[in-house]
Amino acid sequence: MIPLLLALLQTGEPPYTVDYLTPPEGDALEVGGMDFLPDGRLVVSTRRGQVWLVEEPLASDPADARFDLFVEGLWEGLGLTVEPDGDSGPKIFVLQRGELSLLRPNESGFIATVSDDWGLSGNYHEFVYGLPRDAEGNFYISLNVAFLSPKWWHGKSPVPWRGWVLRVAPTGETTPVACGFRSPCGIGMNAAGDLFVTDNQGDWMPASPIFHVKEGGFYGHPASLDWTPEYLESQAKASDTIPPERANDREPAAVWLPYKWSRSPGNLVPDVTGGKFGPFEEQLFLAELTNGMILRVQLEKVRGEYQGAVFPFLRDVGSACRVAFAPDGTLFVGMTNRGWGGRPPASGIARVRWNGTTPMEMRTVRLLQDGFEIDLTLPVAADCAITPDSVALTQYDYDYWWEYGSPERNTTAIEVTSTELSDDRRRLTVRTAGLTPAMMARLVLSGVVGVGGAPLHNDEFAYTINQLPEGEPTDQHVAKIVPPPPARESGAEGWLRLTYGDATDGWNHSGWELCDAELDPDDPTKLRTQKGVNALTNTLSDEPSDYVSKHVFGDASIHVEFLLPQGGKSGVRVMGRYAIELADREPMAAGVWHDLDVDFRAPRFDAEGNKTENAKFLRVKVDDVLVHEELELPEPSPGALGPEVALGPLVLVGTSGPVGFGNVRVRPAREADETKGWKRIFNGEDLDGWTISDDGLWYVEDETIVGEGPRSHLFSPRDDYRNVDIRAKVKIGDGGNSGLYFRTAYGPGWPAGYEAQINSSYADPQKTGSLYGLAPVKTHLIPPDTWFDYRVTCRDVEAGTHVVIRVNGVVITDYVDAERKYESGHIALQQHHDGSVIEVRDFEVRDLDAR
Amino acid sequence: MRSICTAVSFVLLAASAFAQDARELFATNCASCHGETGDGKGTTQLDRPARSFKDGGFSYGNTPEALFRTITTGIPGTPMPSFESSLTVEQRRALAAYVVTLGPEVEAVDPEKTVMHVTDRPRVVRGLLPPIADGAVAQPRGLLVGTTDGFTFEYRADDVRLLGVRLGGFVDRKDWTGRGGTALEPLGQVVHLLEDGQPRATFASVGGGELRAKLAQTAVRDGGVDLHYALYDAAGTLHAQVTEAPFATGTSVGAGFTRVFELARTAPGEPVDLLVRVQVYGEARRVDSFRAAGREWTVRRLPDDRYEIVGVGAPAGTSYRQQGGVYDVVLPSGRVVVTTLVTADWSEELRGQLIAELER
Repeated sequence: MIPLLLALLQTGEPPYTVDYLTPPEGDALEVGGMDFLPDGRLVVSTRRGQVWLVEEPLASDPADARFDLFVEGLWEGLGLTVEPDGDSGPKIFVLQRGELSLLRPNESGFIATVSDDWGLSGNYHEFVYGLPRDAEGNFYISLNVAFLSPKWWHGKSPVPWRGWVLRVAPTGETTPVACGFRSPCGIGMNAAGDLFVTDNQGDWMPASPIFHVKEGGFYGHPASLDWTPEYLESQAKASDTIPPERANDREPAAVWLPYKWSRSPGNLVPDVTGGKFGPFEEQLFLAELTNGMILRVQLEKVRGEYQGAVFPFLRDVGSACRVAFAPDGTLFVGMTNRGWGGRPPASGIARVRWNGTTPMEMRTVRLLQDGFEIDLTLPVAADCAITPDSVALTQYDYDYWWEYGSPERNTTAIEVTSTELSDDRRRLTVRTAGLTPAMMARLVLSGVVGVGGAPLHNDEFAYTINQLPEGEPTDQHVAKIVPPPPARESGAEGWLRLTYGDATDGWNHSGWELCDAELDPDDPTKLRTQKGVNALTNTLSDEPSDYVSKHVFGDASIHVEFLLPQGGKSGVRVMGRYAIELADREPMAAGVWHDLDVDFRAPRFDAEGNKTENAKFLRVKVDDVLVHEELELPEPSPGALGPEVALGPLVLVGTSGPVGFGNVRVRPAREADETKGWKRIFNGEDLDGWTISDDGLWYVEDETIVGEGPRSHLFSPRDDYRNVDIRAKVKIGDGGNSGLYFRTAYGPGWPAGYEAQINSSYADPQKTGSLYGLAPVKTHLIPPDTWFDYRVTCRDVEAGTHVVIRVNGVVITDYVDAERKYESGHIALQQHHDGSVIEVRDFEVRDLDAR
Repeated sequence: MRSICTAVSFVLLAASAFAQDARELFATNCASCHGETGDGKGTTQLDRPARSFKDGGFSYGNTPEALFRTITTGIPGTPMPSFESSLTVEQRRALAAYVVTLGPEVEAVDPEKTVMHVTDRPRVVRGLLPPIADGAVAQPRGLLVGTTDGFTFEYRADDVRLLGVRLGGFVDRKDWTGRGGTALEPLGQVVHLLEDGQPRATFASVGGGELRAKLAQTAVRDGGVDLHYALYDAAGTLHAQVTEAPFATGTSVGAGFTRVFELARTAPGEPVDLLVRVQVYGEARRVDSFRAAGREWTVRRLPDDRYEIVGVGAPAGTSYRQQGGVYDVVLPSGRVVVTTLVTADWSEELRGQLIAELER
């Protein structure tokens, strides 16, 4: 393989070069651990449970390195370390998912168990990572939490010690050290022998952190607390959504890695090569999988605790998961990409070598009370002036909550008041109007050139300011406890199911049928259909139409499942205008159902109708793998329904050959309602002023009106609503039936008035969104037991009574009653039958007659 | 490509060179069940008909290697006996090559990259195992021992319990695909299932409850695999070190497997009587017992009307007792050999045949 030279410098030789060992033929080397034997051989363990011995790993031609398979059949090997002088020759310790094992290089069939004292529930994500050792020979390992279906986003600790760091003594004795970890894929020591863990962003991890691990510490993810003595004793279980009490004395991250640099950090190693790897002695080098980078981390102690800066170091290396220094100071990078979408190459081993040329870099950063002292690797060129304008400095923090990751919050520009270069032009002191502790600081230096004209390789760092050096220490964290986001529950809330129940009712189409579909075994370029309800296919006609929703949408998340025959083509046109092509090729291979998930932002227009902002695919995922992000759409795709507008239908393409669709769902973005004049129609505490017909059971609980028991209706205090806008959050139980009446008279039995139907799963074919008896909706848009936004607008117009019913912000029914059946009356809620449960909250009304 | 051609021509060459001998061997040893032409229509009355090779009906693989294996070991629980003692290696190889020619032409299949085979050396694989039987549970710390004769011994490693024995392919490493962490797929068919796949501990102390086996080591030897483990009681006291070696056993009467336990007492403090618990079906089903090759053998009729033959060999001073479906071997220390064979038939004549073979 030809060494890949990274163009790190615009001038001269790149100081760091990257090349790749030729992997063993026919094997994907998914590296999980690396170390070196005293005889110079490299030992590699892989996710595939193999251990390889590599001869000549430092050969100048990487093709000269030879791989010998030494052991296989292990269950993963995500950590490895060599003990050079064991009693009977060197020992190889490899960390399997189920045990820490000892191997001997001269005995290939021998595997001894050092420890297996941790739980495995069988969940696929219970990875175990390692394998640093301390001066006493103790091993340290970190255990992933489990991600269980269906609420995989809440990491769990079903067995001991998921989410913990453990210490394994050479005797095998295993003791818990610290907890609160989520997916701690990297564990290692710095030059001083202090233990650090990298974790992966997700629930309770707003970004990917580097933690300094201390005995007894809690690091933020609550699931692992279940195995603390306190929780075991009180039989408490960590909440999925509420921060635990110990959140207040969490150990802070020494470094938060900015999302743009790191989404999946691996392990880290200190540069103790004695200068063989360049001017970054004792700093940490970190593997980053998703972005394919090597990052550089420089820590300092402020008020006795580690915090510090992260810099980019190398880009486009590959799915870096493990880093290890060879005795000659070469940095070996092991790659693994287990379906998580990292950078290519997805496996194998890279070597990073320094050619002795000093790169122009910010070598170290020291936090000052009001700024930073930055040491450069080379003096700044004599003709290069650095002014406060050369420095862009911002501060930001994060949310600590159960949601997956956090955006950067409270981003603030910090005014740089002075920049001062030392006499030797190697030290830059940046002073500001003031820094805030418990916040990140991002500093970008522009226009800086070193002696000889070398520009800065990397012009940016992010520094985690847990504490400032002086003044009153803060008790705040960079990741701040915030109110939990709304529960995702089943994930159904906010969605409209457009093909559930009657899958054709909400669509315009010809040539489509609801059936079961699979590849035609006689002609796999076609679909074979049979009676069933799993697929919508365009197989009823030789010239089918597109499948076009009757409802129109703007900003929305869209979920579509699709099935293509061999060589098949189709598409999804968002708003009837912005096309996503579907075709039989990776990752959308024929014959299997695929998920398409789209987050879409509609174009914006000013009051005159001029476009002010382009439409955008925020994210497009196929089978949960991101294929587009932040893709701007300056104009509609060919074949668009018309010019760009604010709202448009969802179009499933049926004119490019046979295709199957299913489970089409849309979640409209909740936009702030700008309309004024809303008033609460009930006081949130009791039903004072309301009237109940028949023997119904109506009560208020948690600011919510609840209706149960036999048939009954609940009437508003006012009886003269005419032109009116009504909105509420509504939930109907499984098998329940209810309705929101308006312009209705009080009375027993079924009231005389218009009814916006509320029915998810009761036998009546008229479902939620129907104007009962006048405009039926047969699609089961909302599952039972799921909150949704219901809004009804009723007003007299020239042609009759105009009723608009919106579900989750989308107009479902728009109907004019020419007969003007009902003219004014109460607003009322229905309790249809015993066994039905209706809940209504945030119940508000806007009187359109009031001026 | 080159290596495939070579392999194919080797098979043809072997087949033609031995054709005459092999046909005779087939007629003598196989045709009574499998038919003169290999169509499965032999003269022997069997409760389940023998395979027809004509339509490719091979239970445990259709390569010469797999057929050699089947001929050598037999198929436990079926009338297919082992020919290990009655035919030489060359004869069995010739027979295997001949039987391949009876079947339909088979396309050479490039095995999936995730499939692991056992070839010349036994293999040990760790991973998550799916339930071995309906009603059994998945084993997050599973251990597979694959032997060169095509058997797979399926263990849970947590406390080293043999769950069952398979015959056929070895394992598909499904955890290499997708996002990883998923279960392995053992490829062999289950030919022995211990206590419905949820066996009790193999060792107990007399009156003192089950002993926990803690895996210390697995070691692949040329001929097999040794599992080393330590036995602890509930209080955490170490009582013994055990080396267990499982291997397949074939006889002309029936096929099965053997486990050899080498037990070394560590005896700190009070010595405890140890039990090796051997699964057998209840006393009511006992139809025969005998002594051969220094071992005690009992024969029981299984609920499915086959016969289970269990032989236990243990040092002097060993006593035995039976409770329900468990046969306790109360032993001082040393080497315990437990062989389990299953056969479709049992008779005076077969007993004589088996004893002669065992003593040989």
